[in-house]
Amino acid sequence: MAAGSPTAQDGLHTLYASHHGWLVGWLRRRVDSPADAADFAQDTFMRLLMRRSLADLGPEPRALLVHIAKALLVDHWRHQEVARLYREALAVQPEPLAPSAEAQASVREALLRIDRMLAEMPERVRVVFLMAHIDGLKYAEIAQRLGMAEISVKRHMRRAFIACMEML
Amino acid sequence: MSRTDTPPDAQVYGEAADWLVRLQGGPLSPRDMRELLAWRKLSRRHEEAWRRAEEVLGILRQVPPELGRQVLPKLAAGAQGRTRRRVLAALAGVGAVPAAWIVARSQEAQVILADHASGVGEIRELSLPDGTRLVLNTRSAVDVRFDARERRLVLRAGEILVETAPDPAAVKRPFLVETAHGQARALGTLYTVRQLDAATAVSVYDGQVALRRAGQAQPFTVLAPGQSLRFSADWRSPVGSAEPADLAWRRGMLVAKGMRLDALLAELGRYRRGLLYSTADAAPLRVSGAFPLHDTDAGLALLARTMPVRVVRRTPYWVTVEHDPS
Repeated sequence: MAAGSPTAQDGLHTLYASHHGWLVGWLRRRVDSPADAADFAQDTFMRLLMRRSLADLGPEPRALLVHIAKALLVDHWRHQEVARLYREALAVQPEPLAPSAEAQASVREALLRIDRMLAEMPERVRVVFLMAHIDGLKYAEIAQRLGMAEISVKRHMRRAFIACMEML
Repeated sequence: MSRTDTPPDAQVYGEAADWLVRLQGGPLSPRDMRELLAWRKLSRRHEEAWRRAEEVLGILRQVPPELGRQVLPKLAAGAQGRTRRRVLAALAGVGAVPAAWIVARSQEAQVILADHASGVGEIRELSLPDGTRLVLNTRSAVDVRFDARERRLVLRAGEILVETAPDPAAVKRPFLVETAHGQARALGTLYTVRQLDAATAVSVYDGQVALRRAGQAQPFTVLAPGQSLRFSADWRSPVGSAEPADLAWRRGMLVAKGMRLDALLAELGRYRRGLLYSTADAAPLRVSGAFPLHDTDAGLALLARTMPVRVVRRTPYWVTVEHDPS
């Protein structure tokens, strides 16, 4: 790995020294605690190392750092949002099924992945996919409700499944 | 995250998706099962594609149906208002970054990461550095790329209304709006550009706008005031009319004149979260009226009072409008 060679390590050191403090400051204006800001800064640098050799960072490393940090923040908030929706849904379940902590974690993980799959689908595809998957409607029923041909419903489902597989 | 050295190509994915579509349609016959087994054995890439297909089914099955019914439509509706506001507040004012560094691909992320963005149901008006007025319709995102040579807006999602100002710079720079399908170049003017899934729609109300396809050097047409057009890389609609009523969104209203119900709901659906659609028997009904965009539920109530339809709420995020002749 390029980051292991001496020059790359020097590059990393320089990068860290010149921009780490600045990035933490940027993050502190956007997250609740200083500890979170430090964690996000660390993750941002790690992502940068995983994605590119330090040689071709371009003239504005701070723009790249901010871009990665933004993606991390968005991802983090999305995680929190999915977890919140899941908690709310659990709270109003008709009977307290009380899934174990492990079971909850795996459902939460599944919801996150489905969330990413849904994000990749065009609106119409998403509607068809949810009607088939959530309501358990047959293709003919979906076709009738949406006023489209059954073959189109199948084409939308195909697109939905391709989006799902590509997200794995 | 598991990757093998032989990733399935698009065609094998497509075939695996075909099998998933058949599976979702109902149990496979023994003959279908044998056929599927034979398909999987065609190559390692087929086997890998099927492994992913099964992983998808596994992930979907992990969510209990009752819970899925509650959570998934909300996920489909995108991030909740609270998170979105938080994200937008946190990320406001951050400069543009090289396109190669776009990490997130979804439209949701495009909206969140853009220079200027509006939430669902939000209509934002702002001034650009050159004095141009810009109005973002619901769920829209735009990047501003002004430099010494040109004034360029990149429309990432949704719809904008542009009211250009004379360029204050010593050398007049052209004003361009870029979309996935091409660009609209203003020749002093009031116009809207909307990014749709498969095409870009442009309506001109004052001045002229030259349209150019992505990757082409020359414009293919110039729209005059009162004209509208949709185009993509390989298609264009006939020239239609740009109705001043279509600009009512700027004032928070939707004005319908004999509009089909399904088209009306598609428009109203842009301003709210979740799924909103009509059943096939209600879709062709014609609707006239003015609907407030900041309260689409009020508009739906109005519909139910004035039309032979009823509004069925499966969940707050899943609303259908059905024909009700009684």
